[in-house]
Amino acid sequence: MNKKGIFHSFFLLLLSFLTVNAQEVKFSDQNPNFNRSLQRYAATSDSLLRYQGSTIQQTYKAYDWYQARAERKALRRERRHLERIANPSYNDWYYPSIGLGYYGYNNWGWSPYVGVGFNSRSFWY
Amino acid sequence: MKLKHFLFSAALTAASFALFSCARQVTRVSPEETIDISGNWNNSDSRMVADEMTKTILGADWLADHLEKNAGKKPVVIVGMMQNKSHEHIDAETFVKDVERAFIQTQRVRLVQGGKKREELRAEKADQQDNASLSTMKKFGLENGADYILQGSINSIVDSHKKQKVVYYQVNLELTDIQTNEVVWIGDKKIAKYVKN
Repeated sequence: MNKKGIFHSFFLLLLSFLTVNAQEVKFSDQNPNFNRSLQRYAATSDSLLRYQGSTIQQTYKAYDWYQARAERKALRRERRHLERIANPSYNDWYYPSIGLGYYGYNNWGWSPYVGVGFNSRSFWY
Repeated sequence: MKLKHFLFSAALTAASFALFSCARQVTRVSPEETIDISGNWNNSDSRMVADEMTKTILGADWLADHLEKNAGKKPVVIVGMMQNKSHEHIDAETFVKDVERAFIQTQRVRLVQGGKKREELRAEKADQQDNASLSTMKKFGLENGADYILQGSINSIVDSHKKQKVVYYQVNLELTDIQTNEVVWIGDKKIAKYVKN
């Protein structure tokens, strides 16, 4: 191989090296270790960019006195209802069983007295 | 006479239906109109945020600085992730889209797709490699790289006692130079509401 051939092969080698490492050493101020970061983020970019352009919901539950009271009330009603169901002496099919003269359907059929008070059966019972 | 009776009873029935039925009434209103019902985040809040952000982002110094540094070349922006850290479900897209639309309408900022839409575009391009004619097939590797990324967050503070409540929302949008990580613009909109139940 003559001198020209050696020069050509060296030039081609240099060119291919520069092409492969096109990202490298473009700016004098660039951190020489940038490739480490590039490789790290190139591997995870898909998952990191999954939510790009969308809103991530990281909401919290704010304390609202009025709402908290309503929730407490709903929980209390639910608990009482479950207690009533669990109570073997409770036979009425209708809920709630508060009030006199409440017309409803119980296990004796339609009646003006579905029940009086909590956990009670019929008015006359 | 019979017909008169019939008409009267029909009218009476119709009137009673109209009076006592629980028919839902729907009325078209202008999206610009402010209607507060529950005190929660609504379209008026979103519109206020969009107006403020659009006005400030296009009038801020970052745009002039970019044009000066890059010989009048328009900046390319990509919309990044928005975080809703408030106590309500809020989708930032309602106001971010308005900002994006302003970019395009004013022709001062260029916008590129990101996220799932970009994935779809790349998938379409990949499909074209097999199915489109050579003259119409779009090539990979020719996308516009963004200069800036627009990110944001929504925060809230709730102060309530008995039937009174004050809700404070703060919406922040930030524009960051992707090359240098330098934040070039921050826009914010603060909304406070007093709610009495």
